[in-house]
Amino acid sequence: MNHPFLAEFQRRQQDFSRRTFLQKSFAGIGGMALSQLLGAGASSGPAGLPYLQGQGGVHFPARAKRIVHLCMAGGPSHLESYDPKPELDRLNGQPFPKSFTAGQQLAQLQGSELIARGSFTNFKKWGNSGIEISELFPHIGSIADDICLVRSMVTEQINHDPAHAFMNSGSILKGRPSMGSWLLYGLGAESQNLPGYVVMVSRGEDADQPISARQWSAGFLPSKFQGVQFQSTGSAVHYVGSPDGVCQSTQRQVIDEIQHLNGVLREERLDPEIETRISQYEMAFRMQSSVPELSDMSGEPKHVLDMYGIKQPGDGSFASNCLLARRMLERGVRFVQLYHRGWDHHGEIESKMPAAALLTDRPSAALVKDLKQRGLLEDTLVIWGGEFGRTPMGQGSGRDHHIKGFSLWLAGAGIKPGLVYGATDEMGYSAVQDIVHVRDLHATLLHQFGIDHSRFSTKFQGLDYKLTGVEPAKAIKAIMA
Amino acid sequence: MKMRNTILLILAFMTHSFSSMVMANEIPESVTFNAHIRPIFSNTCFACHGFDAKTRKENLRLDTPEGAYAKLKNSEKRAIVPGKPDESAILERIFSNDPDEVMPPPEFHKDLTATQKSLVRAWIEQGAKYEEHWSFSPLVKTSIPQPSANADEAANPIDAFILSALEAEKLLPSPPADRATLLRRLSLDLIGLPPSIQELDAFLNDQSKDAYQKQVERLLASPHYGERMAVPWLDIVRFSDTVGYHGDQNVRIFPYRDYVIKAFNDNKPFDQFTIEQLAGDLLPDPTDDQLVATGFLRLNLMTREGGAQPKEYLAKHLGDRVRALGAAWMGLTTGCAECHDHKFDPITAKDYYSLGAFFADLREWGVYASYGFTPNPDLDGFNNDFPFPPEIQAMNDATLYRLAKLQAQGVEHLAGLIKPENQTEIDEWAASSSLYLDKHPSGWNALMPTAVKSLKGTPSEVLEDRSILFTGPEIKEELLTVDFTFPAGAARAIRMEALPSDKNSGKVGRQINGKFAVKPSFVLIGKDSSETPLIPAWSQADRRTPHAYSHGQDSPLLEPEWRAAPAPWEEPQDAAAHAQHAIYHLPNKIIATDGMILRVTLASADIGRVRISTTSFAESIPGNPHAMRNELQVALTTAPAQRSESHQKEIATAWILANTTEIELSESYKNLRSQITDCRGGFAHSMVAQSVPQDKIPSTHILPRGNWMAPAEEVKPAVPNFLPHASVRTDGPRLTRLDLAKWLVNAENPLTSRQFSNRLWKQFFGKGLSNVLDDLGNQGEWPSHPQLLDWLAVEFRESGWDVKHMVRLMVNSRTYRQQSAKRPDLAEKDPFNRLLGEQAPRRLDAEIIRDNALSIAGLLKSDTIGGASVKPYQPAGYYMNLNFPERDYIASIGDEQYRRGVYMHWQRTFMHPMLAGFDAPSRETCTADRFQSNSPQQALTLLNDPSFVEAARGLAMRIFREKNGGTDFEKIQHAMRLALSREAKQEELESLAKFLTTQRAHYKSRPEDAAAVVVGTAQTVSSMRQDFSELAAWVQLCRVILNLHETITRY
Repeated sequence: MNHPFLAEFQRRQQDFSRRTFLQKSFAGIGGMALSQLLGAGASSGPAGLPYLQGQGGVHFPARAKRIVHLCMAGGPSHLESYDPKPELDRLNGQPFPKSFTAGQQLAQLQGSELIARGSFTNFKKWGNSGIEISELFPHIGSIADDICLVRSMVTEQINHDPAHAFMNSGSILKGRPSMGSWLLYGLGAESQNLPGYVVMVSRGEDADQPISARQWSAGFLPSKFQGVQFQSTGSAVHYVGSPDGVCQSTQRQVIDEIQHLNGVLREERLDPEIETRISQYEMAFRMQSSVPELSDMSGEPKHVLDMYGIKQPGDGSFASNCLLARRMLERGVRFVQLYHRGWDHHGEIESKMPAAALLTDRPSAALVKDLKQRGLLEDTLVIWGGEFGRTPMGQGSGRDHHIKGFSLWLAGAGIKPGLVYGATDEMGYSAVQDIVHVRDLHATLLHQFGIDHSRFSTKFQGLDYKLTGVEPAKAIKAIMA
Repeated sequence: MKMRNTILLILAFMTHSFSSMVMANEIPESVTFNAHIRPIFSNTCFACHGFDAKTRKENLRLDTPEGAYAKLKNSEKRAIVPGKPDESAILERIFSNDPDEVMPPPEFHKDLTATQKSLVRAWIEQGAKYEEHWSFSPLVKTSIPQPSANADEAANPIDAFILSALEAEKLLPSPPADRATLLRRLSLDLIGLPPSIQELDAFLNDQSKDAYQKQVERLLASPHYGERMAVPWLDIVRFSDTVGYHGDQNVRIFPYRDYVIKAFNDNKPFDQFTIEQLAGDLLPDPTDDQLVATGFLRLNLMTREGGAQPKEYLAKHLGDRVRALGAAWMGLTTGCAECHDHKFDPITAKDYYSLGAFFADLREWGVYASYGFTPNPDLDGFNNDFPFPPEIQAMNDATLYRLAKLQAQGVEHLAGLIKPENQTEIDEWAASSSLYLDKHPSGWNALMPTAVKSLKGTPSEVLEDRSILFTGPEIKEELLTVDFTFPAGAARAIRMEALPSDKNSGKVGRQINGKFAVKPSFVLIGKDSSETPLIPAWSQADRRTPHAYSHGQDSPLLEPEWRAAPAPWEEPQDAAAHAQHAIYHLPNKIIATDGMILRVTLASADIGRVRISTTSFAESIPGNPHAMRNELQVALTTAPAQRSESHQKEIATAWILANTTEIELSESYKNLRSQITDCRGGFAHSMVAQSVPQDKIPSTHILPRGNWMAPAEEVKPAVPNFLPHASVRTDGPRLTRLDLAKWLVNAENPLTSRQFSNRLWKQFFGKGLSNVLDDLGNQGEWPSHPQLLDWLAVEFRESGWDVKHMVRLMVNSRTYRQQSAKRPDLAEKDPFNRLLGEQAPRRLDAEIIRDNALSIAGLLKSDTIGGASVKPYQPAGYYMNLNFPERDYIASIGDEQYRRGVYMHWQRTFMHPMLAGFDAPSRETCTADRFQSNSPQQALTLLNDPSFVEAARGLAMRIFREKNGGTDFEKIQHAMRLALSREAKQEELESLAKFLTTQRAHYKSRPEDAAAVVVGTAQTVSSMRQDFSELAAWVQLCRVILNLHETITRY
């Protein structure tokens, strides 16, 4: 059997879409190495164009242009924040009804006697919507009419590390792209001077659960789609500062000379990477001034700092990060993800949870208000929540991890404000009404960006991979305005 | 909006019909299943009409002829009737315009193009012949084609295949690259380093016919070849320094990396390489190296998270290993079958779990700690600082080399302290030391016990070899006191040997497991009965069970209480049956006087047989039977008249060391010595595989949908049924990892050789012949040159799995030697260069970008091959979000800072930003292929990362060193040749010279900036005499050169 190795038709079959942009990439749009485009790995459509543009555009009108994910890492208790359970309070200290827990997966409570633990906080109705939120979160309470509270979240992973991975990538397998990377891949970046996907991490007094850089990894997508972590010490972005003794004009001259010599090379090699390299050096130089400009909050008026509760701008606190997030969103960053490490309350929940709330409540609310005042909330999606919730059963002086039901809220970008969606059972154990799986959250998020999750895929290891995977997933229409 | 949509629709329609019109004309005369139909069916049909019975719709399968030719359910029709398109039901469906009828269904979003439809029709017309998938079919040597055009250019069979294919497409190959480009390419490809200027000149001036081949041989013989070849292998086996989950703690594994490097350098046959990694521990009398090789089986992600379920993580380990097996050897995405039968390849979920069952014998834990909620008595007391057993303690060549190097540095360091007036004393010392060595060739003098006392009555006996044997059961709070005659002469260290004895079941101690714990103290008793305690300055043992760990590593120093090896689950497990040694270094030399007694008190319930020796030398290393390094021994045993200068130096520095008290010793020497003790006498730990006893092997079950809480059918180890497996035994005890490994490299296995050959090809030609490197299955890519791939795969196998032979074939081909990126006609006709009408340029891999820069700068320390991971500069605070335990990153000092990228510490959850920026994988999963992105982060790294800034400074200093007094042009030319292995063009020279002038003026006016550039923050503080502004200007010029696209690209 003698196959015509590369019969022209077969090449076209494989390469047709890639071929059409090739000329373009010679003309200087190429954003990815040529070899990547050929590899059946993650080929994003035509070079330089984000995937969906290359495919003819988004699937339906987009409500969101950017997103900020306030990730409460460690898993905040829904029972002390957003999901009041009088029946659980009534059973406080008594054996937890077995009917709820038989055959269920437990984390640190494996093999222990299960005792109901009532909420230690009071709940209050807020705003016109009357959404019940605990007293630990008065500022978030004050924006109750702007948020959509989902009380019926479920996830599949009961330990922090895989649960974060699941929340970010829809999979616990390593090497899968995070949702921020998916968005960049699909939609591209709006800012030419800043990374399109930025991550910041803050923490309370205790060093809490670790957060891995894998959570903002581009996985099998090209690394240019990965989240860029802004550091709270040193340069905000790695290597964004010029070396000692090199002022901005010298740096510019160095880059000019690099560009010039790369231009000489371009004359003799048919290598589209040269052109891309030249444009990336320009972007790098712009970042060298745009990142410090972004991080410099000295121009922010005092009332704004006070609204966020910022003691020292740039101190790496969640409050400071929230303000920085607003500045990024204003400047066209597509996806901002703020992690706050401090919610893993296995013990001493009665002192530690109020402490975590104190650091996050005011700035979270301030960010929503600030975005609203600036007209940005309209097309900025805000998500607030942890990787899972906590058990209605006590664990010593705290609560264990819980995945069967927890709360999360969204705001802005076409999400119905002042709404409570879904509910857990009377003990706060299982989501029972309008259950929202993590995949549904992903589908909803993509939907607000105009993307049909079932048609947004990339080829990897021979398969069409989607953020929402192969299990059923649905965008929650009921929470869309 | 609506209007725009309409236009888009029209455009889409036009494009569609345009493409189908063009392509429909090009349906080949012969349509074959593998080349044409399989890719279409696999992508669009098999998910519902394929291998996976559970998801099969309408009981129709199109992956086999039996299925496709059979009668359809509830119908007289057949999906495919060979030769009869009109009777074939699938054509009706795929050409249908009815959304309810058409296949694939619209909601699948996988519509067939008109060409694809026509192809299916043509295939059915031509008889609808099915073929076995190419990579699953038996590996048979293909005949080498005879190209008629350019045939004389074929250097070897590879070229025959390539030239024939080019000829078929009426394309010409490209001329060879010029020699300079060629050598740089070859050098970067084979050893990951650019050629030196001497190497370059030698090649440029070599007129012999085989000048190029000589370079190939030189590079294949270089020890750096193994370092280069290891990188893709370390990617595919996901080698890293940390566990990957949660706390991402450190593991001890670097000896495995050394094993891989050495295997490539020694050209270990790939079948042996395979067997050792998968089953080294199951070989008869495995060597330490073969055990270290099984570290492969320990590279899966692991956790120590409280609350993690052991069973869940054990299921993850199984999957992790099956995926690794699929990626590294089989080229199959086996992981897909974790939850269900594979959709596209005939791998069942049962195959997946049966493969996993091969690894069920491994001693491992789902959670590497013991928590109240998941008790694990095996690992009682393990905290976040502990290592991840089982491990082996074995001699490591690189560490031994480092030890010797540091000791030699020590000699150089001390040599500076020799004063001429010491010579007489040194000579006397040498004379007495020689005499001493005549009597005690090892340098150790075993002391004669004169009295043995026991507080609690442990029986004892003094043996002929001067050891004291303690026997009987363990006795708590026992104190054993032994007096020794202190020998004449000086003592600088005391050695305690714990020796095995038949009386103690052949073990060193009297615990049930043959171990001991002992806390010794030493007192010197004078003739006048005066007692002087001897407090050791520091002590070290060759083997022990440490009391504590920090970040997965134990202190190199011995604790006051010496506990015998092996540590829990440590190899060699019979360590307690072999002598173990501890050396107690005294803070100053003790001069014995007549009648002096050394009283050794051993607080030990269970010590077995001990022997005490002393030495007058101050540099003894545990594990080395000699009390001094070999060089000193040779020097001292050489007749004084014959001693060379270096002999003299050895002796003089040993004298200094023996005669300098701990307090007098300089801090800088103590720093060096702490690096020496860090080498632990050359021993290193590495994670290994260890089998549990046969009857303790847990059963393996299919987990439907991957749910670890619902185990179903039990499975035994078995290789996938759809692959040839006649060589696998069917009787005897359960199959082992050794059976698996042997099957992988058996001639009947169609995958292993294809997979490796294809990946090797990628290394030299930029892409695989089948360019989905991790999937040779149905969803992979039909190879561009299938016969070449098969020819290579057979050649590889028949050569005895000779990797260097294959590399040699590839790089000696004329195809490899062609020039790159110069052919506009190919850019049009073969834009992805799959026909290889020219070479493909490629950006260097992350590690090699570093190596290249350091090498150009003259900073690279590349003499050590292998060794512990090193830590290049990294932004402060980068590990802030790590916990359990919290982490600090302390950059390596000295030579270790300038080692090659392959040795960089690999933190799975926080990769070094430079590695991450240049597309190195995090190695959480097996990676067959790296991306090559081109990002602003890369520009920022090359511009501003202290390692690259330091390299620029190093290069500037190098230019001044090597071209001192040269003109600007000469210096620039030198820098360009170092970086690019070529002469700079006039335009480049002039441009750089002009740039230099500007920088000179700038730094002249800004002396403080100039000083900042030159002094820098890094380790290489300039000692140049040039004025700072001049050097600072050159540093900027060197930054330009190191940032050039060409510098990080191999053309």
